[in-house]
Amino acid sequence: MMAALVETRGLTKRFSQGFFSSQKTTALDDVSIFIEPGETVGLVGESGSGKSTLALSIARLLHVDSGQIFFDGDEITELTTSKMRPLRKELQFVFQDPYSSLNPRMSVKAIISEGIRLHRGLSNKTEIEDEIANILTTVGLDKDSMRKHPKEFSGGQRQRIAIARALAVEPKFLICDEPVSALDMSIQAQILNLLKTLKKERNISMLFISHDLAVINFLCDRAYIMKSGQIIEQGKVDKIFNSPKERYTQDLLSASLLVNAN
Amino acid sequence: MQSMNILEVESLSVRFGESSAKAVEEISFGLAKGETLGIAGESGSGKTASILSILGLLQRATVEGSAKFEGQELIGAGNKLLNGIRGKRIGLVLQDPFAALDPVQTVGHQISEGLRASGWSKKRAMQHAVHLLEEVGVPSASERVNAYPHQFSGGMRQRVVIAMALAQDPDILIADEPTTALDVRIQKQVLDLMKQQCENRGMSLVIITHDLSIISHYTDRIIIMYAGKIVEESTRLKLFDRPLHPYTQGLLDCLPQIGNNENEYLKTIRGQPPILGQLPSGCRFHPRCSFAESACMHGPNPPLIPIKWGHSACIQLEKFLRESQ
Repeated sequence: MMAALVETRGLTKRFSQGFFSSQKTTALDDVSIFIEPGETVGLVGESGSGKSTLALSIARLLHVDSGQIFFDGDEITELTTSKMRPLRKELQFVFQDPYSSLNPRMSVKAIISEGIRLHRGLSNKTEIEDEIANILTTVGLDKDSMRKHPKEFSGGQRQRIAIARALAVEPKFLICDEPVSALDMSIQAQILNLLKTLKKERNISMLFISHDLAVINFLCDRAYIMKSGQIIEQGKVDKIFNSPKERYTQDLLSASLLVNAN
Repeated sequence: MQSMNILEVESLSVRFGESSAKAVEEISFGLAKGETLGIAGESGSGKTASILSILGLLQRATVEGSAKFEGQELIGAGNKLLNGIRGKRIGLVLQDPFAALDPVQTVGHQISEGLRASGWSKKRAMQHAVHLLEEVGVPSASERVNAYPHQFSGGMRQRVVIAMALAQDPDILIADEPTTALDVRIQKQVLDLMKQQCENRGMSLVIITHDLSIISHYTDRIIIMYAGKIVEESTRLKLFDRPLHPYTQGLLDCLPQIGNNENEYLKTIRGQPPILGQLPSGCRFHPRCSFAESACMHGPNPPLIPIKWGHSACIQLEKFLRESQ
């Protein structure tokens, strides 16, 4: 096996159910996954299964109770915020809702240049602008978009901006948490194609979270199925979808309504 | 045929506020008794506005045209008439079961509210609420009837909302994105339940959705809307085999499918839906359409033309059917 780019070993996270409650919900229960360089890995599960908790834990945006997280061979489970900062460049996030994930008061240029300046040390104004123009073209936006603000864009375009922001720092690893579920059908296909192009041309590793099995099937090499905080099945995408072993995966597949008139 | 329709909508248009742009423009369709109809379209296509306008539920909107329920005109009708129809004859299930229920009233209270308003005694209305909860598959209904919405999961809440909509035994059940907020396994249960209830009661069902896979399983007749207009009306069996509009074809092509990975990339519809107030001239889909010719761009907004099994608003239909075959 190749050295994994991202690996978790036995992650466990419990949330208390309320301020006064002593009961706890187990969001992650001994979760071990790995993502190899260049690989796109799907994470499937229903709401409350722990998908987003896992993603946030890997990105160190949430503290786990026990277990280990490795990135590029190093353990990052307990890294301090300042030690974590250089790694932020390598590990980027695209969130579900392109309306709340972009600061409405910043121009697109400001949104994208923040990371470039911080992480890539570029300071020359024209250099930065050229770079932003490049990135915007990559994600299918006009380079003049950089002068606008998020409110001037549609949902699909905003998601392109969010992807551009993530790409701007040239990350090795991208976590996409339901990036297309808030988008219209015709726009969803555009964004999925964009992600597929990025995956092929930039060799970025991705953790792709979705409840939509068809989307996972389109984009991912391998997938994990999560239920109640546990990984219950994993494997190559065609294998999972053609011959699911677990009853739960079979249920998910048969409940996924596919376009089928007959 | 016409007279058999329980709901007959004709040249319905909706404008919001002072704007002259129409969110819904001159749409016409009928709904027969016991029929299942799907209305599909992307956000802003006018699918929800058209239904809410029929029920007089849109605020600050100008509604023109006609919508007749059993021959009675609903557009412009007063609340007295509409109150006799909303809930009683036409039940409504909305997308978000979290917002549709009052958090400080028990579900039984909410389900039976309409019945009490129609003069049922409190006791009898509550008994009926228990019966309804049983029907929609809520376990231990006689106890759960006294529970509050927060004590239910999302899927169970949507069942409660359906029980509310069914309470007065309406003739039509309209469900606006009823399962968008729910997980896939729950989605199937809820849709199966609605379909079953409609069959049992001989009720008509209208499902409004952005999800073509839902209508491909649950509705017999299908309307596709784009930018406030109906672009195609077809049947479940025909729509997916033989779309009558390039937009429908585009939507079908851009859906990822399981078990079909021959194409590395998804086909897409270029560009994005127009913004209300900046609608293109001619056919509203023409800037995104690969079949468009100058007549599509400059002519009048194309009307729906009857085809053997449905209607199409594409003036290049022959060319489209020939080349997309």
